[in-house]
Amino acid sequence: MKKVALAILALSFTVLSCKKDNKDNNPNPVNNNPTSFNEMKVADGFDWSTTRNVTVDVEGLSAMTIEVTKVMKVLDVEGNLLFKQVIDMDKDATLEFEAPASLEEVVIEYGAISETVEILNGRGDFSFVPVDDRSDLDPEDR
Amino acid sequence: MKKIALIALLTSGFLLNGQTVSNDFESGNRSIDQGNCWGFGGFSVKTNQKINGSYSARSGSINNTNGSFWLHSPWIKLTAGNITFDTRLTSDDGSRNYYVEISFIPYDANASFGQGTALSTKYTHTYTLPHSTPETVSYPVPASIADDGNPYKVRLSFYNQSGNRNRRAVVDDWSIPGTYSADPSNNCLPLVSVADADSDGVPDDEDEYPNDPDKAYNSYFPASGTYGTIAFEDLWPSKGDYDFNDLVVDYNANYVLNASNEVVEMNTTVYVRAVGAGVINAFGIQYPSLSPSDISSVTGYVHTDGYINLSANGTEVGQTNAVIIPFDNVESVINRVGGAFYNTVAGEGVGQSDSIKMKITFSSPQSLADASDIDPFMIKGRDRTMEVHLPDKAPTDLANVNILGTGDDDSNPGSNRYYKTVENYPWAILVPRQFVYPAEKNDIVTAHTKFAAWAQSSGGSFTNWYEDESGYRDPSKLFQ
Repeated sequence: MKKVALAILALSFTVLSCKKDNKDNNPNPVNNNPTSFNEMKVADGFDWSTTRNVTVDVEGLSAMTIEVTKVMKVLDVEGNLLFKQVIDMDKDATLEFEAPASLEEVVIEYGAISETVEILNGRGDFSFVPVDDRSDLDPEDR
Repeated sequence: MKKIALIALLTSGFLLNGQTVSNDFESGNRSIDQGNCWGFGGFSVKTNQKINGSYSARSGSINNTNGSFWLHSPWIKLTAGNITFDTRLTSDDGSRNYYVEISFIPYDANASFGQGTALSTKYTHTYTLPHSTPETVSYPVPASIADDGNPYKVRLSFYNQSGNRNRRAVVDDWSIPGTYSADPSNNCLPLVSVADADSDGVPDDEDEYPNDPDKAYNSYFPASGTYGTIAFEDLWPSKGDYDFNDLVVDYNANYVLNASNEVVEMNTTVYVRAVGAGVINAFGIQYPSLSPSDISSVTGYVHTDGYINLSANGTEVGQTNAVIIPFDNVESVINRVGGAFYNTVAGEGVGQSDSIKMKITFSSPQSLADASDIDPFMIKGRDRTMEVHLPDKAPTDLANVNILGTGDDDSNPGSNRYYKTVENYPWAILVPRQFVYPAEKNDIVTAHTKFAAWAQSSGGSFTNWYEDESGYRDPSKLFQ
C-alpha cells in the first residue's frame, strides 16, 4: 500500500513537471481576449487580407444549335453585383474576381438562369447543363 | 449582274428550305439535350438497344395511356417538308398495336412553359410489324402551319392498345424541317431576336454601351454602388495607436470592358472619410501590373501643392509601374466642421469630403486582372518619399527605401516583406465594405470585437469581422 502511494505521488510530480515544462516552452501564449492590438500574437505569414481571389469554372452547353452570347452576372447573396463577364453559352469559361474572403456563395445570373453557387476555398462551379432529377424515369433508368 | 443576283436568291432559298432541326441523341446525355430545349417524358438516352450511332432515346415500358411517354422538340419555325424519325420496340409483341402520335404545340404566352393547346391536326402512326425491326416514320408538316413564321413544338407520344406489356420504344435520328427558335438561356422560351447596333457581338439588351463597339459592360470593385475602405496608421515607421483612422479613404472602381472582356477604361472614385492625424497626408495608387505607357490619360485628380510630378498622360514621373495620385493634400478635398481631427471625435460634427472621380483610359485594352491589381498608399506629411502601404505591398520607385527596416518597421525587401512590424502588425488595412472605423484613440481590437480572433487565426475565423453582426462591435468605440 505504501509503495502504491509513493508511485501515485511520483506520477503526480511527473504530471505537474510536464505541465510546468509546457508552460515554460510557450512563454507567450495566445491571449484569446486581448484588450489591445499589442497583445495579439499574429502568425508571421498572415497577410491581413480581407479579400481573396475567387475562381468559378463555367461548363458550357455542348451541341448548341444557335449562338447565345450574354453578360454573366455574379452577385453576393445580398444582391450586390460583384462581377460581370461576357460569356458564350456553348463554351467553357473561367470567372476570376476579387471578393470578400468571407464569401461562401454567390448567385450567378445569365439571361433567365439564376443559380446559387457554393464557394469553397475560393472556388466554385457552374454549369449550363441543367440538373436532371430523372424522376420521370423507370427506377432502372435513373 | 442579273445572273449573280439570281444565284444568290436560289442559294438563299436552298438554305432556308434545306434547314432542319435534328437530334440523333449522340450527346449521350439527356441533360445536354434538355439544355438545348428538347423535352423528355419517361425517355432516357441509352446506348443499349440503340438504333443508329452510339445512343438512342428509349422509353420506359409503354402502356395504353397516351401522354405517359413522350418527346418534344424545341420551339421551331416549321417549314414545308417531312418530319422523320427512326423507331422500333425493344421486342416484338405479336400483332398488338403500338402507336406514336405526332402533334404540334403552338406558343401561348399565358400557358405553362408557353405551351398552348395542341393543334387538332395530328398524325397517329401504328408501328409496323414486327415491332422490333427499325422503321423510318415520315409525316409532312401540316400545310396550315408550314412557313407561317410562328414557333411550334413537335411532340411524339407513345402508347399501345393493351396496357403495360414490358415493351419500350426506341427513337433515333429525329429530323424536323424548320428553324431552331428556342432560347436555352431564357427557360427555352421562343427566341426573341435582339439587335446589336454596334456589332460587337453583345446584343443591345445586354450591352450597356449599345452604340459603342469598344465598350460593352461595367464591372466593379468591391461591388456596384458600394465602397471599400483603406484605413491607415500614419506614425510609420513607428507603431501607432491602432485606431486606423489617421487617414480613411473609401474606394470604388468601375471597370468598363469590351466584348472581349478587356478593360478599356477605369473610373475610380475616392472619398475621404476620416483624418485623425496631426500631419497633412496624401493618397496614391500604384498599379503593379501596369506600366505608365499602358495608360493614355488620367483625369480628375486634385493636386494643389506642386510636389507631384506628372507625365503628359497623368501618371507620376519616375515610376516603373503606373502610379496615380488622387490627391496630394487631404485638406484640399475635405470640408471640416470640427476641430483638429476630421470625423474621428464624436460630437465634433461630421465633415464632408469631395468625391474625387478619376477617369483612366488605356493605350490598349488591359486584362481585368492587371487593371484591378492595386496597391493603394498614403504619402505621409506630403513628403513624397514617405509612403505607407498595405502589408507586403512594395513601395513605389519614389519612396525612400532607406526608411524600411527602421523604427518598428520590419520590412525585408529581399523576401518581399513590407510594412510589417516584427510582430507582423500592419500600418494599413483594406476592408471590402464601407468600414465603420474606431473613434479617436480607440484600439480596433476593442471596437471590432472579432478582429483579434480573425487576426490571431490568420484569417481562419471571423472573416467578416467588420460586419455589423451581433456581438461584433462595441458601438461606444466606433465613430458613427
